[in-house]
Amino acid sequence: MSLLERLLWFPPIVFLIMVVYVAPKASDARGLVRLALPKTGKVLGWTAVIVVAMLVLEELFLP
Amino acid sequence: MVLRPGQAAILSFAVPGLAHVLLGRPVRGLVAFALTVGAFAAGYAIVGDRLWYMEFMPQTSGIFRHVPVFVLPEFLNFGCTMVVAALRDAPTPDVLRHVLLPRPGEDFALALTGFSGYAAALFAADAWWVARGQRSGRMAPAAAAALTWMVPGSGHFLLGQRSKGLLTGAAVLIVFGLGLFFGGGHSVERSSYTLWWAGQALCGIGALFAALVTAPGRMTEFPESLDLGYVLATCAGLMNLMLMTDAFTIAEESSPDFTAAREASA
Repeated sequence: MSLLERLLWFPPIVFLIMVVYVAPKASDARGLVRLALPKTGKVLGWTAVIVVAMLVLEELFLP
Repeated sequence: MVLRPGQAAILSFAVPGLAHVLLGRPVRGLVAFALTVGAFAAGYAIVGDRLWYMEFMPQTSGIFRHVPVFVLPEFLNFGCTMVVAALRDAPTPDVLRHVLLPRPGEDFALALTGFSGYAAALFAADAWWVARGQRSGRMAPAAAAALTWMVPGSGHFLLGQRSKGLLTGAAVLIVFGLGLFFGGGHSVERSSYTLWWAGQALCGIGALFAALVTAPGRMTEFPESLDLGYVLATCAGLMNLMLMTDAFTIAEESSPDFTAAREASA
């Protein structure tokens, strides 16, 4: 499986994990989805930041 | 007999069901003993010393050969693992070679011994609850956690949070299923990924399915995304652990005694 395919799988799997992560904070499916969507966005955003930071560090320090 | 909740839990880890009997719940105690010791004994009868191949840090000497903390999740069934550790042969080359030999039906047998560890932990949690002397609400907390362990989301469903149970259960099973798919059916194999399996087994029905159906199959070609497979299946197990604790808490809070105590403290 290519890196692109793995990246495509990443957001839906993170969303499913976040649905379970927020489970204690809601008592119905609608509430869970409402809480899980912004959490998913946050995790994806931070993941992108970390990956970009690693690539920058690689460019700077690994010739 | 009066036992503190902590004492009851520790006693239950040592001898499953004993705390229940001492607390005046003999039937539940017998069920706890029969399930945990029975599952362990049935599995051990098939695999024998092959169980020690499942130590994620192999022990040929030292204290951990006799206190097998590296066999997870069996070690949670403390009494049984201590008994078989005491019966363990000296580590001669022949004995160590024998441990390496796969046994027929070992996937299911090792699932049974592993499940006995998680069952022991759930019965210890139940002993803790019984010792607190609180009445159960819709369901005993440990029963809600046990149902969720076996079928993700079922505890929430039976506790009245139906849509939540269906959604979270589906989320766990989809991630577990993707793990099996990406691993070509070989990402949930205890003898290959011992430590990962301890997490995967937290999704009971998934690990049982893998032990019965996918793991015994022969691997004809190495799955390209096996790494992704066992990581996802383990993620699913850990997701289900979160659901189990949530179901336990919801059941605990549904107790009339819990509500009364909270109102009194407020």
